[in-house]
Amino acid sequence: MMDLSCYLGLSTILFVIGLFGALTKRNAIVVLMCIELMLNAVNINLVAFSRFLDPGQLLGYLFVIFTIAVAAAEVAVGIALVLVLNRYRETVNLDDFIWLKG
Amino acid sequence: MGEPTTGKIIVFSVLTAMVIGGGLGVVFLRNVFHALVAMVVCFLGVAGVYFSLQADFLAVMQVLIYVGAVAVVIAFAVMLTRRGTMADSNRFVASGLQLAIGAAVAAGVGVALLRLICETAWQASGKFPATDVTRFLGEALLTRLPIPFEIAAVLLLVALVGAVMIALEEVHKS
Amino acid sequence: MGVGLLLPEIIACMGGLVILTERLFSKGEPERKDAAWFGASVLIIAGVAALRLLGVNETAFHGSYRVDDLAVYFKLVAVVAGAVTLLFAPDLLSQRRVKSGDFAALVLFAATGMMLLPSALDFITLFISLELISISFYVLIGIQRGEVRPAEAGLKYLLLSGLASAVLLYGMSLIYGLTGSTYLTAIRQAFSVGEWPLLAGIGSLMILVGLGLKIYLVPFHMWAPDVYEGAPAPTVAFLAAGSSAAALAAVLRLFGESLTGLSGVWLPVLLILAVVTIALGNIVALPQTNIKRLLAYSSIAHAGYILLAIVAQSSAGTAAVMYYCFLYAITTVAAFGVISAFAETSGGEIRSFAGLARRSPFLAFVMLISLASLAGIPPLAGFMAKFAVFAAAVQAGYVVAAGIALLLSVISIYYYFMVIRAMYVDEPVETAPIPCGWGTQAALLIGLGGIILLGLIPWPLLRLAQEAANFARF
Repeated sequence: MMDLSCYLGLSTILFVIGLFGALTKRNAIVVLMCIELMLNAVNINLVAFSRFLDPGQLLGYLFVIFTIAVAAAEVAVGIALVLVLNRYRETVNLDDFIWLKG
Repeated sequence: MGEPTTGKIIVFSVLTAMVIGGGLGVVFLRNVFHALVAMVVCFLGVAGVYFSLQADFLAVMQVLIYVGAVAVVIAFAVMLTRRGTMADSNRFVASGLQLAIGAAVAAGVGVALLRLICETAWQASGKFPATDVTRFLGEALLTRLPIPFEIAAVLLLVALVGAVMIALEEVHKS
Repeated sequence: MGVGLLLPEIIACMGGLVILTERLFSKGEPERKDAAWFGASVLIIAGVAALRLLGVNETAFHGSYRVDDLAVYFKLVAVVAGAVTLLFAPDLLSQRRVKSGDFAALVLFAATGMMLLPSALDFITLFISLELISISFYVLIGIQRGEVRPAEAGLKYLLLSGLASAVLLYGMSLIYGLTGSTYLTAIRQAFSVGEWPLLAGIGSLMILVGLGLKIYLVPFHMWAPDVYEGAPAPTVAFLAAGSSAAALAAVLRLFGESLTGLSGVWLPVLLILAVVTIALGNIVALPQTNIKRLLAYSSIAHAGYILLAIVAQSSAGTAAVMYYCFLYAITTVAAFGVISAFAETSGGEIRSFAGLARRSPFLAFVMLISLASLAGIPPLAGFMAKFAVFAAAVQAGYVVAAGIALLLSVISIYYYFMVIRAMYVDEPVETAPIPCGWGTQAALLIGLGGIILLGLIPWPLLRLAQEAANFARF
C-alpha cells in the first residue's frame, strides 16, 4: 500500500493542471473538461483521506458519490448552453464572447 | 500498513502516469478530440486509483459516469460545434497577460499546497475499511445522509429538465 | 420531529414537481401566467410552514441538519424573494416567449436549495444544497431562448461557478483530512484546541474563495455585471436577493461558528477583501450607463458592507448581517421589478429613464424609494441596515474599516442620484404611458411597503434577528 502523501501529491498535481487549463484555455468545452479534472483531483483527495484517516465512517467515499453526481449535472447544463451559443455565434471560443468585459 | 511491494509501486506509477499524462494532454494537445481522449485516459487512471484504495464501488461509478456519460456528452458537443478542421482547435487565450496570470496562480497554488501537504503530520489510522464497502455506503446513504440523497435527486432532475429548456429549439416555427 | 423539520422545503419542491407535471399535459402557452401565481402561493405556504418552525432549535439526521431561528430567518428571506419575483416575472417573460411554468418550477427548486443551505451542518449537505441553487440559476439565466446574451451570461456564470465549486471542494477535502469529519460541530471542536497546521488555514481560504463567488467578494465578482446585464430581470432579482443571502447564511455557519479556530488566517484576508469590495463596487459604479450594470456594482458594494459585519465576529454582527439580507432582498426585488416592467424593453440604459416620473409616476416612485433605500437615506430601511452594520464593526474595533465604508457609502449617493435625476428632472424622449400588469403592481406595492415600514418600524425584525443570532451557536 502506497503512503497517503503519494496520493495527495498526485491529486494536487492534477488539481493544478486543471486550474491552469481552466484559467487559460480558449475553448469553452475544454474549460469544462479542465473543471472536471479539478473535481477528479478533489475526489482522489477525499477517497485517500477516507481510506487512511477515516476508515470507520468513510465520509469521504460518500462525499465522492455526490461530487460525481453534481459534476455530471453541471456538464449536462454546460453543454446545453455551449450548443445554444454555437447556434448563434458559430463559435465556442470564449474570446469571442463578452468575456471579461466587466 | 507494511512496506509497499515492487508490484504496488509499479501499479501506482502506471496510474500516476495515466492521471497526470491525461491531465497534461487535456491542456496541451492542440486538437480538441485528442484532448478528449486524454481526458478519458485520465479518468480511467483515477478509477484505477480508487481500486487501489479499495473503493471498488466508486471505481465502477467513475468508469460508468465519467467515462461512460460525461466523456460521451462532451464528445457529442465537440462534434456538434466543430465546423471544418479539427487541427489547432484547442488553443490558449490570445491575451498573454491572462496566460501569465493563469500560470502564476496555478504555480503558486501548486507549490504552496505541495509544500504544506509534505509538512503536515497526517494522523493515519491503521484500520482498514469494512470488508463490504458497497453495503456500508448504501446503508450510510439512507440512514446518515438522507437529505443530500434526496437533494441529489432533485438536482439531477433540474439539470436534465433545464438542459432541455435551454437547448430545445422552438418546434412550431414552421 | 424528523421530517416535519423539512416541511417548508418539501412543500416548495413538491410545488415545482407539480408545475413540471402540469407542463407535460398543457401546451404551455407563454401568455399563461397561472403557473407563476401557483408558484408564488406555494412559496407563501412554505413560508408559513417555516414560520411555524420558529423557536424549534433542533438538530436532526445525525447532526447534519439544524433548524434554528437563524435558519428559519434565511428561509423566510428566500421565500419573500422568490414569491415577489414570481409575482412580477410573468409580465416580462410572456413578452419574451418564456413559459412561466418553466420559470416558476426552477424558482421553486432554487428556493428549495436556498431554504436547505442555512440549515446544513455538514459539508455534504451544504455542498449539494449550494449546487442545487447554482444549477437552477444556470438554467434561469439562460432560459430566454432566441437571444444570445442570456446564454452567454449563463455560460459565464456556469464556468466561473464550476471553477469556484472545485476550489471550495478542495478546501473542504483538506479540512476533512485534517479533522476526519465533515460535520461542522466536529470540525469546530477539532479546531478549538491546540495548534493547527497552516494547511488548515489554506483549506479555509479555499472555502472562502468558493463561497466568495456567490457573495460577490472581489476579486471573484467578475461575473456579476455581465450576468446582470445578460439575464432576464426577474432572474437577476432572485439571484441578487436570494442566492447571496443563502450563501451568506452558509458563510455565517462556516466562518462565524465552525472555523473560528482558524480565524488567524482567514479573518485578516476577509477584512481586507471586504474593504476592497466596498471600494471597488462603489467606485466602478460611478461611470456606469446601464442600470443593470450599475446595480451589479451596487450589489458588490452592499456585499462588502455585509462582510464587514461578518468580520465583526459578534452576535451583533450576525444580527446585522441577517437584518441587512432581508432589507437588501426586498429593496433589490422592488428595483428589478421596475426594471422588468420598463427598462428591459428599452435596453436598460439610464438615459432611457428620462422623464419616467411623467410617463409612469408609480414606477418612478418605487424606483426612487428603492434607490434611496440602497443609498442608505433615513428613514428608509437601508439606513437602519447600514447603521446596524457600521455599529457592529465599530463595536468590534474596526473603526478605520467602518470609516472607509461610511465615506464610500456617501459617494454611492451620487450614482443613485443620477438615476433619480434622470427620472424626475430630465425631459422624456417618449411620452407614452407604460403598461404595468397587476402582478407587477402587487409586487411593487409589497416592495414599497416593506422598504418604508421596515424603515419606520425596524424593531420587530431587528429583535428577531438579534434573538436568532444569540441562539445561533450550536
